[in-house]
Amino acid sequence: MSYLLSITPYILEGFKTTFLVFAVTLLVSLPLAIILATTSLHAPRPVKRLLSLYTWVMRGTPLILQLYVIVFGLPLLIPGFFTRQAIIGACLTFILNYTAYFIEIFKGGLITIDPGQWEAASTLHISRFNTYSRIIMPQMIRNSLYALSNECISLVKDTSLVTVVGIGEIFRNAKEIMNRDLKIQALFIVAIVYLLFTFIVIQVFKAIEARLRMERKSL
Amino acid sequence: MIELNHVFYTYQKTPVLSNLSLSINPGEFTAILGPSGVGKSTLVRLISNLITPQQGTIRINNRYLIQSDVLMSKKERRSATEPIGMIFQNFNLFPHLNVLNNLTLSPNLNHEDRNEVNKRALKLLEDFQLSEKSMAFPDELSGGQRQRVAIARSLMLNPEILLIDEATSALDPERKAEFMAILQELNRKGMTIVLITHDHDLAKTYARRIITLASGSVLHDTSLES
Repeated sequence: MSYLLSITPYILEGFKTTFLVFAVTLLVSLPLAIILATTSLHAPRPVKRLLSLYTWVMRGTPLILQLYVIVFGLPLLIPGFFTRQAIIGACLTFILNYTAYFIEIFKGGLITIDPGQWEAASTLHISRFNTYSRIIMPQMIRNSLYALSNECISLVKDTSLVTVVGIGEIFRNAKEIMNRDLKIQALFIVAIVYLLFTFIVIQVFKAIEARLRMERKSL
Repeated sequence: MIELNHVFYTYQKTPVLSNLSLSINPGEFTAILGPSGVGKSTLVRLISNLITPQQGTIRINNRYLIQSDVLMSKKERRSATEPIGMIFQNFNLFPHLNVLNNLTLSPNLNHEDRNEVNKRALKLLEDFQLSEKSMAFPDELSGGQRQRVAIARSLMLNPEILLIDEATSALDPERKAEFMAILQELNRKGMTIVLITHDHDLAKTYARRIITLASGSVLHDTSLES
């Protein structure tokens, strides 16, 4: 027990990076994906094709490969391009990758919206912007909630991949201790931290769903 | 008044409306009859600016909605459809908004006075015996209640012309009669009603004029007024 207590602070030190990557990815990817998914509805064909290409590449290649390309590969390919710190390149990679997944989730949420909603809005003289923001997007987000929660749980676990580009986070810190002490207890602490983190994410989404249901019942 | 002149509409290379011309006068209760696929819904969609004809002219209350060979701005077209309200077959209520918000959304977004909008909405809900359901959501309503919310919502914008696109086809006889009674009352107060239906009996019972479509144009135009 004293061993576990002695190694926990160092392992938890890495959680700052884990949480940073998670938070930055969500804060940037979610709004970006909402905008791209809704604008792609009525975008010109070349734009739609470009977006399809982007989501295909991002979802069709491993995140670990994308991390290597952006953090190590791009500075070699593009003279003058560099990421001062690998963490910036890693966050950029996560944003690009997860935006693609979120776009597809939101597009799925959009497809389930009855086309009659657009027609009703038009005949009620609601502008295109207000139709998107007050009628379509709220429904799109509600329809996408379940798939979003799954993707956020994946994001929690994927944050451990930043270790391959030399960034210290919770998993890498545990590995260092494991290599130093030749004991695996550190991994159990990491597992507990990830379980707690994913538990919190699940509870947040449950609270959002409950809030949406409460809005319907309490008024 | 609604005027369509020499309107042609094609959907995916299939002609739907061919050289259709008709006019509907203020205060008329007109039923548009015809079998499925003849262009009845297309007709109301053209009038409500949901789709655009390839040729022809459409005027509403002497304002052009569509002019042959003249490109009209979205603003001009939207302005021409201001007198028009529409009720859809599935009612198309906004599922994420309660009944009151379904009614008040459009006027509030158009910057009308919120207190007045709320008062108007609550009055309409009272008229349609829906006061107790103002905070309910569409999926908590019966079919008849949803139908009345759809009517109330369209009336919030004070339309002069109400287009009803097969809104009675999924209703049981009692709800249908209730719905038609509301339309008759609105017509008595001066509203122009255009009812799309494939139900001959319904049209004969309630409408004062029946326009029958066939092959994309008017086949019969019968006044039922004595």
